[in-house]
Amino acid sequence: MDTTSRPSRGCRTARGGADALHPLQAAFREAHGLQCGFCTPGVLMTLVPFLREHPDPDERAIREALSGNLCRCTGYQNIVAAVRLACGAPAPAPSSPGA
Amino acid sequence: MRRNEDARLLTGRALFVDDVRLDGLLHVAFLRSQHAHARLRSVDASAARARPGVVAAYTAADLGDYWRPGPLLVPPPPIAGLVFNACTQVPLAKDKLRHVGEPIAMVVAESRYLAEDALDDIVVEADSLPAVVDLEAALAPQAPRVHEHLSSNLAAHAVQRKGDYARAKARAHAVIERRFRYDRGASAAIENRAVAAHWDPRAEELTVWDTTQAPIPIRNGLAQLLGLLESQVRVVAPFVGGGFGPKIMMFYPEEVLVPWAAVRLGRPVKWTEDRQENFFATTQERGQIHDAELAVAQDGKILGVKDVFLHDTGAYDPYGLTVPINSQCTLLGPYDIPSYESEFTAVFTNKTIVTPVRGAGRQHGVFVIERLLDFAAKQLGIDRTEIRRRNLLRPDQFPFNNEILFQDSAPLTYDSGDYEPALDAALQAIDYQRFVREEQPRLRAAGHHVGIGVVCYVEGTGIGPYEGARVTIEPSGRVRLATGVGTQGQGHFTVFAQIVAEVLGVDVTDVHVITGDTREFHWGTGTFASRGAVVAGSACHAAAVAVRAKVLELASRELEAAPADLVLAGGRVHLRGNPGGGITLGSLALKANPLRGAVRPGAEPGLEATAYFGPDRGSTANGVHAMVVEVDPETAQVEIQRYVVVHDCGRVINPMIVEGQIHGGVAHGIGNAFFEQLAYDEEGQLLNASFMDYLLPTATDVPNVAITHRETPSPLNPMGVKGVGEAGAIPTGALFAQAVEDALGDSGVEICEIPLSPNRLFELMSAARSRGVRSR
Repeated sequence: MDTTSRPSRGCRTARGGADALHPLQAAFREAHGLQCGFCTPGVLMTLVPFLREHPDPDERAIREALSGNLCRCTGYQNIVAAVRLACGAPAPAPSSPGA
Repeated sequence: MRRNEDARLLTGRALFVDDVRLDGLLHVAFLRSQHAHARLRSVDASAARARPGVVAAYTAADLGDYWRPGPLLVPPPPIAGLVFNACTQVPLAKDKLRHVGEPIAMVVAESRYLAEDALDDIVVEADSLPAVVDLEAALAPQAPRVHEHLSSNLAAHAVQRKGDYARAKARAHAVIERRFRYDRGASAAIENRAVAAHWDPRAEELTVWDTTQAPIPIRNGLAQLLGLLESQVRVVAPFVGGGFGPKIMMFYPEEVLVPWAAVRLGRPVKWTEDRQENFFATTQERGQIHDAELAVAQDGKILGVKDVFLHDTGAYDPYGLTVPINSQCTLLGPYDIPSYESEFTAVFTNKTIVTPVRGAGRQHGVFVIERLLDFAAKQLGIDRTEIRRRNLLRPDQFPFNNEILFQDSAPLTYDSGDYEPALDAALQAIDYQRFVREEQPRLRAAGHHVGIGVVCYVEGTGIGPYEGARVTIEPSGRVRLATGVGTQGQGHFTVFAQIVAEVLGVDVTDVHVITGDTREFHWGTGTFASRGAVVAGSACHAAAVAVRAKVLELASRELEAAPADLVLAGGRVHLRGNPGGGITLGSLALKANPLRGAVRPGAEPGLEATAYFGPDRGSTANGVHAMVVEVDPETAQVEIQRYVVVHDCGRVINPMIVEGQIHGGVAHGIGNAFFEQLAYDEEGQLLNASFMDYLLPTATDVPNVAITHRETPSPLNPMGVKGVGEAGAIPTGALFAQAVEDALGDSGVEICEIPLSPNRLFELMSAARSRGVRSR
């Protein structure tokens, strides 16, 4: 079911009916917020209602919100970056260039 | 750059094994041993078979000729004087139970619920035996034996030597001796294992969906076991929810039994592991005990290292000696160590089988050498980072032969590296001098227990034997790339596409990557040992180069131009300086497969090529991790305040993906250092087999990691790449120990073990305090 367009339905999942990604899904893709992707639907389902309540969370609040979801691949860093991106924060700073 | 695979993963459209739904699908549950060690007298599954909804129930006796121990997956390297007792796992226990969770019987039913209910109907008679749990006690003469045909619990014994350690020790200014314990935990991929199998009697073809890191070896082995042609077995490793080692080509009992049942019953069969099964039945890494010594000169130069260690291999040893040999080899680190004597004894215990988990024993070796250097620095009054600097290999020493054998049986030779600038970059990134001169004294004076750690490591990556790839340009102009290795989140759909896209001048999104399906590509080994980008990536590169040659040959005829004057870009081939002209790759693909007309003698149809890459030996990546911590002396909680990584995996194909790999590895390493420990009691029972009790790091436990890339190309492959998949997890334990010890200042705490936990750290602090009181 589409996470963007059917607020009246009781059940929301990561599976979209349309081609367009939810802005949070798009941010996950931009910020490399997923690797194997297995935990991702659960993470998205935690974050969508969280962001509705907290449209501009700081990093600590994002991490607290995520603390009930386990991810073994990402170390959470890029999940946090993706959330901040979805909230309109600038893209995460790139690491230092190759020496 | 966006990953090609993400749209599918983000919208729930990616196929994982448990998503496989087939008409008439049957479900499986396994009855597993509750004993760590027992004599199995009888198993009676007749009542289970009579339960409505149960289609079949099998015990070892029902398997007939199909019952046989699994293959020895990695034969040990040819080390002189090596002792190795191969005892591989069995599909269902017969006569003896050797660890909790070992499968005893298999029930196939119309639903998982019915199958699990029927497990209660199976009557097992077993006489408990004393369990072999402690590594040292396991070798006592009167110890019970895990495998009674052997004269002891010794699984392996190996000695590797370089130079003359006894002489080095005799002329040493100081010899640092310590005992170290390093324990590791579960891989804990978020997706558990799963296998689904479907026998098609009309096509006489078996399809197996398997959460494996190595679908091709699994296909080959299953074909042999089932008496089928390899071409009759298709193994698909679709999207896999994290591998981290234990999903390698294990031939787990479930992996060989589910396909067998599907063929036998003529119906599709699926089994998905639950989390509790994963703790007992999926392979793990665990502990080693090292008695190590470091002989140093007065200036801190290493003269030699001696290390004698015990390695817990669990109840069976199908993966040979990979883990302890990685420990043995990785101990040498980035340092010039003129003499080395390393002896290990691998021991059977009544615990889950040990096979590689991300890092695969390298952690243990890094911990030993890094801690020895810390203690030597303290004793000699040299700065921790300075003693490392004085011992780093210099750029002119490469290739550097360490004169011992690595896990791939090749001599442990570092191909290339530039270690001192990596150390400098890390010190700069963490601002080491300012921290130790200003920040730490100031914060200490204010009552804060802050400490810093800096550790170095190398990682042998990208070993052989080989991988292959096939690149095809389709008439649409899109490119199809098939390779044998499976994917577990490493971004193969993007990285391999980038490699091919660069060679053929197409967009990365126009390269369609197929991995892990033996029907699409059936030569290769698998995804492990940080080898995907190095070995499979190099094969993709070679195949793309071969296709490019075909493109240029055909285009030069079509455009009547010399190949040297042609450019591949934007999905077209055009004359240099005329980007709008020329011909599309799709049109060339059509011309390369004509429906009518003459074909030149010897010509192959299409724009397609298959290529293989097999390195003589692995390439050696390296790095330096540094962090600042604060320890709360009341609660022994550790807060990581800054974490920096300087990493060199040769040429970086995709920095975003490399950084993601490092982030995840560091998180795994932090779990290993402070949260995760498989707690076995003296009866071999695992006490914390759930995520309520076995703590994975969460988002509030893991710091942000600042990464600096350095690129020292490998001379062993055309792209100059080295592996990165395991790197983040390797030095973390050693780093944690050093930083926490530093934070505790002159408390007298010496950390010679990992994992720590707040409890364990508190015990160490209390013990140091009472020692201090006594000595006063």
